[in-house]
Amino acid sequence: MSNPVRSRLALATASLLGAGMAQAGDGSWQIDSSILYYGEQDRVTAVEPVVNARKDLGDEEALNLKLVVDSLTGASHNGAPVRNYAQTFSGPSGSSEYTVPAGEVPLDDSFHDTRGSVSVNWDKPLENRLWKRSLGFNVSSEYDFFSLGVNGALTRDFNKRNTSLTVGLGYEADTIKPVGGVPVPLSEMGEDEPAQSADESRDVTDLLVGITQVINRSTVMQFNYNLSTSSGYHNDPYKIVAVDGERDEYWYESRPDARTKHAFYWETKHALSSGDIIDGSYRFMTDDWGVSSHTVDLRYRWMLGNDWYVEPHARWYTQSEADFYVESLPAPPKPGMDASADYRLGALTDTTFGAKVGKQLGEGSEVSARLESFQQSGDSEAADLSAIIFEVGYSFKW
Amino acid sequence: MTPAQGLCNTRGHRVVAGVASMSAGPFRVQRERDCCRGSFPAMASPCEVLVAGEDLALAERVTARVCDEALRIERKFSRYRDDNVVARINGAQGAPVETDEETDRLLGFADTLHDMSGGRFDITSGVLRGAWRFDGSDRVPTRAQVDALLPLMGWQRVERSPGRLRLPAGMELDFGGIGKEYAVDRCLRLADELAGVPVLVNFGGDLACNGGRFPGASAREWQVGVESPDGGVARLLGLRAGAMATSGDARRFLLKDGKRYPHILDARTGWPVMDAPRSVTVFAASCVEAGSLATLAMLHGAGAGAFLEGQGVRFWLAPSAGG
Repeated sequence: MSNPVRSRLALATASLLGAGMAQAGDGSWQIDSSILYYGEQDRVTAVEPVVNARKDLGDEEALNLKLVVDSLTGASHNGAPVRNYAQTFSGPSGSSEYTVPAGEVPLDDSFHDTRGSVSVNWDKPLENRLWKRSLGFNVSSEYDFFSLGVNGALTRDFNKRNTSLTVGLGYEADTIKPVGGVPVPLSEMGEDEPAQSADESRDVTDLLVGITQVINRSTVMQFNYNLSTSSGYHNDPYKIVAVDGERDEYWYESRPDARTKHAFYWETKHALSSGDIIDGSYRFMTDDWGVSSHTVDLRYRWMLGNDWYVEPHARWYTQSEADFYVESLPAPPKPGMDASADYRLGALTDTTFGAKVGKQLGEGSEVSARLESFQQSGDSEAADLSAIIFEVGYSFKW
Repeated sequence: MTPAQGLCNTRGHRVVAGVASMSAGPFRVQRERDCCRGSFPAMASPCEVLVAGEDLALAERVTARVCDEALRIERKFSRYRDDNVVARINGAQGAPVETDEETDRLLGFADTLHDMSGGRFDITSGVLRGAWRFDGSDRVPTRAQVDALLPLMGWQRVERSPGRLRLPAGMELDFGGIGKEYAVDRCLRLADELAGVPVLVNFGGDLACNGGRFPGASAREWQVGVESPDGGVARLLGLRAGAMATSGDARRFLLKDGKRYPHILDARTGWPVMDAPRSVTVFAASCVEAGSLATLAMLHGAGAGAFLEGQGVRFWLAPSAGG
């Protein structure tokens, strides 16, 4: 273009609109930050700051970085049942002892941990923008646990982009390094038995198949199937199982060395003409340990005007117990059997109620606060707990 | 200002009322013979999106996205609101104001146009509304009335750096001269990503289309009607890809002592470009370019045609009423 007016105008237009038909990223990062407080009555307290940064690189290419720090303090159930007499336990390293009074849930109050995790994801559309691929990497670390993971997914749009099919694969390698070494499963606690090893490992492989379907302009539906297989060390090295008798005996728990889970997930979002949004989901999970669970989650985002919204939330969760779950054993375990008294493997029902209040401050900018109450009940007294969840969030462009 | 309309055969079948997602206002989508037409009002203009083919659901999604974006740009850059960046700048009383990246890009473009027009185009010239009302009457302001406003104008007096702007107290910015064309190009880009078929975006006669193959066997193009200044379609032009914009409005003028004062104002003097054509329609790759060329041409007055000839662009000019 030799004409000076037109070449100058073309240049100015390109910097106004970005070059080409592809949508250029605006060069900014979308930052979503939040801090969550989770407090169980008399037990664990967690504080969790999260920062998620997403940069639109243009033409649907995007980079996502996420940083999570979890700080936990308090006491957790050690696996022993409530007794009508006082119980004495040795600490995880066998060095310290603690006594739990009669009638109380045995809690190990040495529980404190800080977990940090970083994940990176990179999405990029492939030819003709109908295919998109995503690659991710994550690392998570705490003082007795380390995990490295990679994942990849391919998404294909069909049906004039009304339908998207995603197939994803993930692999994660975990290392568990308990304080004082890995106890021998089904060995008696407090004996001077040498540790089985200093650390153990576990591999987890995930397959995800998902379909997102636009039903109409205001409704979108999603179906996912997730197959997760893991092999290796699955025990909680700090959990014990009590053996009933004249004198209580406590044995380290033992779980199978493999687990296969199937999860089915369905979610529908519907926007009403008022701008309100209804979001409902259901998840069913079943595994070869005998655990199956149902989760129902409902949210209603009620637009109040002036960019304020209120979002009531209700969640209900129930699970059946694992085949090897016991509250305590009637007799010492036989070699080769599995037993765990971890209430998280027992039958449970959780309900969560709460609401979030938010205000949109502009494009990509929002402040919000969420307050929820969590109630859990199960087969054992250890499973009965209540908690408060409070979270504040701030999103902005940077 | 509706000098052009995109045409596709208008035998409507089904009308679907829709409301765009959370932030947007209402629009309508209807199926016509070879395309679907979405329409909504924005930027004081009738706005429409034509989507080739008969997929009404697709047209609804494309219209929703275009409507969202048009209303977003209007909310952000309209000078009629009190809650946007323009209101913050105009109300700052001479204090510096933070600007975002998109605003900076528009300011940069306005700067280029100011420079290329030798100061005749100026986004601080909106204050001239205080003297000029092009309502077809004979109320031509006095020299003194216009001169009183000139000290409140002048792009060169605006201090600007990335992310920051300081406008002297009493002055005003008005993106009206480029906002609609910018919105057309932005919206077409979003529509193109979503649709995968030919789309035409038309905001009150400033329009752009993305090219590509029409669904079905027959290769075709959009028929764009260019309205004559006296009303009615002056000519029908085929448009496959690219954009068209018009500057000038036959209905906005003053008439005094047999002299016609068109609404194109020279920002250096505050007076109309007296011998400008009644309107100029220019075709270019993008709506922003087409609109800029049309504006620059109008500011050349009687030389508008010659200026456009020199640019090697397709254009259509309605001669001035006096000429």
